[in-house]
Amino acid sequence: MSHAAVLTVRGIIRGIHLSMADDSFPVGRSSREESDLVRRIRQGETERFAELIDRYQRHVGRIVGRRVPADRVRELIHEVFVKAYVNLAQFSDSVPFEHWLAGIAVRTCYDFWRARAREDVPVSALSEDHQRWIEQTLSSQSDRQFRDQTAKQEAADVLEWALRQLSPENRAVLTLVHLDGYSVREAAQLLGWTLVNVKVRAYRARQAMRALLRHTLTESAHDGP
Amino acid sequence: MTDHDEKSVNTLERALIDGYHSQSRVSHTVDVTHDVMRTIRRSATEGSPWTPAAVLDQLVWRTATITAAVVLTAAVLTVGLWRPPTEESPVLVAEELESVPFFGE
Repeated sequence: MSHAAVLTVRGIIRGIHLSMADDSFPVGRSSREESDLVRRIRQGETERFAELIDRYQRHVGRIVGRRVPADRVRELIHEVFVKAYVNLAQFSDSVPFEHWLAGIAVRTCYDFWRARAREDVPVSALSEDHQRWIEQTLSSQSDRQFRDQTAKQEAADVLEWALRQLSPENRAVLTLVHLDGYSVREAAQLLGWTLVNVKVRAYRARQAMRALLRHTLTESAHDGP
Repeated sequence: MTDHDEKSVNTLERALIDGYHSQSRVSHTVDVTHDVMRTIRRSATEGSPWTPAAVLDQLVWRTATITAAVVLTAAVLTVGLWRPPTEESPVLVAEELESVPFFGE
């Protein structure tokens, strides 16, 4: 068997990948090699934690990069790894290390927005460019035109504008369930919340988002020509 | 709210979700290994894992534990000192028994 094939087989054995939006959170057990590495770090080989950072910083970067402003990504990735090191004693081999790390990353981003909510930063209104983007998106005549619209920066800006008006809890759940496409169970595991809590929040968060969009459309219809 | 309006909300919602996925493809290639290891080494030389949250957590828990212990001790002592005697003193009972003549005496 070739080296690549061996690696593929090992990858399959390591964890069953659930049907998700991406492969950020595979579910399964931690590999023996990884468990051994974590054990050695716990026993005092601190410098070997660098291997875990090298291995997973892109993974953490993907999670954090989608959730916080670009200028805070580096700081939060740093925070995630420091938290992981501090709490390494709590890591159990029953889950893959990257899944455990993903939970820390998701909760760190949630804490970031909770802190922001306490600061009570006002959300500015949508600019004319963003209003125009909404109108052009709604009047798209073809799939290609629609896709081109969604690839524009305005799409991310309008989404961010809407997310900032949700509570940190609703934002966290909506991002995981409705945007990333994770199941309620997976979202509950990552956030460390109960299934019922996530299920109720997922429904309410989506309703809140749709009410916001409805209000925006109504206002732009009134303001329009 | 008309069906037409609901359709617009659906379209806008789908556009935002699609936009999120297309933006998500932009990866954040940040190398934090050096910085994180420096923080960890610093915490190791200081003797305990350092993060503001960890320090705050420890402080809160220690303060709460000490306060609870002090309150509990004070409560036990107060109850012990001020509780009115509910039983007769053994001396009084003995005296009482002595003063009662035995049957037949």
